[in-house]
Amino acid sequence: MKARFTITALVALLIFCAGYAALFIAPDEATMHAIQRIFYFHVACWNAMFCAFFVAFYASVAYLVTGKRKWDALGVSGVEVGVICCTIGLVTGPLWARPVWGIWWTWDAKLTSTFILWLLFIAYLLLRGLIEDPEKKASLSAIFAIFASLDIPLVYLANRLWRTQHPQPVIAGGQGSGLDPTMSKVLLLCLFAVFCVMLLVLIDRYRLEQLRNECAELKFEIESQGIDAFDGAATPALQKGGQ
Amino acid sequence: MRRGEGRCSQFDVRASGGREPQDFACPKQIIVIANAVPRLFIPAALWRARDAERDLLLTTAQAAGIILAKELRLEFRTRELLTATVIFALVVVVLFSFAFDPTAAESRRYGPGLLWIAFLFAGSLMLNPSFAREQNNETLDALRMAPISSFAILLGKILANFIFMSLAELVLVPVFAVLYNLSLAGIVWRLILVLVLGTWGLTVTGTVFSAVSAHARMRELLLPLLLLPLLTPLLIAAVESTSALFAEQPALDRTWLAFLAGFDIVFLTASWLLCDHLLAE
Amino acid sequence: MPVPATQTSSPPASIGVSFHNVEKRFGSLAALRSVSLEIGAGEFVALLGPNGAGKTTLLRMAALLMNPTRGSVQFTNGPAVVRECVRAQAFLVRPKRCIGLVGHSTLLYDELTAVENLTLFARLYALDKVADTVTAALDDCGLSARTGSPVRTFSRGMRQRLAIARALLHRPSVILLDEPAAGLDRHGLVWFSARLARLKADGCTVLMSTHARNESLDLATRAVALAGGRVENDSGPAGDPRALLAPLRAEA
Repeated sequence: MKARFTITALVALLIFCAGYAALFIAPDEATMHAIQRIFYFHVACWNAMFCAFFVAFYASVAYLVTGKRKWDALGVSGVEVGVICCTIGLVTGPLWARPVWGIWWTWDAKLTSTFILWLLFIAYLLLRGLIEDPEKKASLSAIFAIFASLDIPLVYLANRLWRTQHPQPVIAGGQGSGLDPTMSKVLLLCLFAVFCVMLLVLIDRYRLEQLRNECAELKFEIESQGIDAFDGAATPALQKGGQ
Repeated sequence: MRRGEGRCSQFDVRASGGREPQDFACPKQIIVIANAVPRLFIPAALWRARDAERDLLLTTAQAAGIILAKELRLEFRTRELLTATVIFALVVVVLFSFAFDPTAAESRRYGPGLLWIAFLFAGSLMLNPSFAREQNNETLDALRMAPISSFAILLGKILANFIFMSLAELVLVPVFAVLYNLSLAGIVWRLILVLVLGTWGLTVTGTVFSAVSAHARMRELLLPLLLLPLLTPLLIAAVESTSALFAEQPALDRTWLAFLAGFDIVFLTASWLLCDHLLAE
Repeated sequence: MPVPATQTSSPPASIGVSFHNVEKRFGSLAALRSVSLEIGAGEFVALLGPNGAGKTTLLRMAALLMNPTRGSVQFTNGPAVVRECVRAQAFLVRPKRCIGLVGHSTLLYDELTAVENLTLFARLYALDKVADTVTAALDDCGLSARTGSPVRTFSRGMRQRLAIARALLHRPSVILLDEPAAGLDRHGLVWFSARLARLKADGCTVLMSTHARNESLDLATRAVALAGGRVENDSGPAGDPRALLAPLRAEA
């Protein structure tokens, strides 16, 4: 408990330092000025999102191979945290794009692909909500997560091919070449800090899921003992045994 | 001892492999197609290793052929699914013309996109009953109890859905060409190639997720939600390669065709690897 | 009704089923709680118990349609364990062709005719002489007059007879029956009991769940009563099942 508190405090300090560095230490960008500072968190979110979705993919495969509930718990945690990172990225993107590009949204390859990614994993969460049986829920959603993960590279490839064939005049491409050395140091710090936050939330979410499973297990044990007490008689409590 | 004679008392009663089933339920052509199609995509060695491990009486392709024949028989008895799919896609096509009132140049530009949107929507509706229909008398349990590989069940259904979807397209494409004043002359074979590759990807993923959504509440709504985002790369590739055919100078876009084929291979392989978990209780 | 000649001359089978500490949960509901049963080859077991006692779950697990949450289901051939049913191997093929199940549902396609239904399953089980086997099975269950009409048009009893014929088509040696008498009329019950007597004589292992009395129960060599997902009472392989079967009332 104490160790967890210390780690949480450390990560909080880290993200605070990262925020400070991004806002005050990093040099001003030549054309975009202050608004460019959103970049440090925007990019860091995408990085964290990919890590979270990779965890979800790995956990889904592991669940199907081993059949252990903990992998299912890790899978759903990965997707949930990834969706949060993705949402933050999708919100900060337009906030940055509006003053710089003059538009909130454009159907550019990266934006489109990420939006589809977001839709895919929202569908994953929806699917989990609509299946009753826990075992079925775990295996079917793991199958969907694997299909969705396989789809990601294809989505990116398709969008890239598609947009190079239809060049869009509005985009000059983000930062592009040559970051200032201070900028890249701050960026690295931000990447690390946001990754740590993601990891912390992921682990906590995983623990929560495990506790829920444990709770269900204990409830089940109590119910079983209740049935033992009435053993042998066809009481209404027995009828609940269900087929 | 011949198969089917006497009760099965030993577990080592082996099939005399590769025997052709002999009577009406499964025409020979279907077996040939069922044998050929999956082997285009999956290396033969892998295929054999997986079948041998299970000691099957029928090869996966033979069993898939039987399931396919059953699906076709069920569907052609009523033709409900096919009719509904065609009508639905027609409604989409007609509504589009009201919504946009396209000129000749515009219909050439937007036509392929519209066509594939209509196919995707119609497909996501049509594929739903594929597994949901089996729940009436729990017939899926009967199939799962039979000594066949789980992929045979899935493959039979994929092939059946592919045939249904292709038949619907066979009706829809000429109607579409007439309504939007597009000429099919000279591009028929190339168009068929694009349609086949696109439809195969659509039916593979669609059939897999119809098995997934069959276990969920609100399955009619869920299937399009799962399927359509997953199919965006397919949509882009299919629309682009169809557009290239409807352009002033019709051409076959090899990049997009390769992409379509890649999509088909990736998802067929994935469903082959995951089908045990997909159909297990 | 005539008995097809090929069916009486089959060799005896010797496959038993054993459940080891089987537990099955559906969410927080437990359908079975550590059930251990050793069913030897050739036993005829009547599974008794109120609704929700876990009879159907036990049968579905023996049919390899379901994996236990804990414990294992094994098929034994004499002292040898044929194949263990464990998770991630849901598609066990080898024991499959030796198992026949009559379920709660008919497991038949309503839109197909009787012949088409049986032909489909005969082909899936890779039987030889499909047409002959199917004709013989239809003669046996007394449906040869209605072979060409869809199952949808059949009465409840006719469907149940066809469902039984479907389950026995591939001549399984482990026969799992879930309330098989439901919907059968007097005539059907007599046919069904005679059919079961032949199977028993052939050495098949039979597990039949029931909650009402009928003639086929006289064949039982063992009775197992389930309650709340546990084995409440078991007359044992050598015991007399009549004491357990006596309280059952005849079907109305």
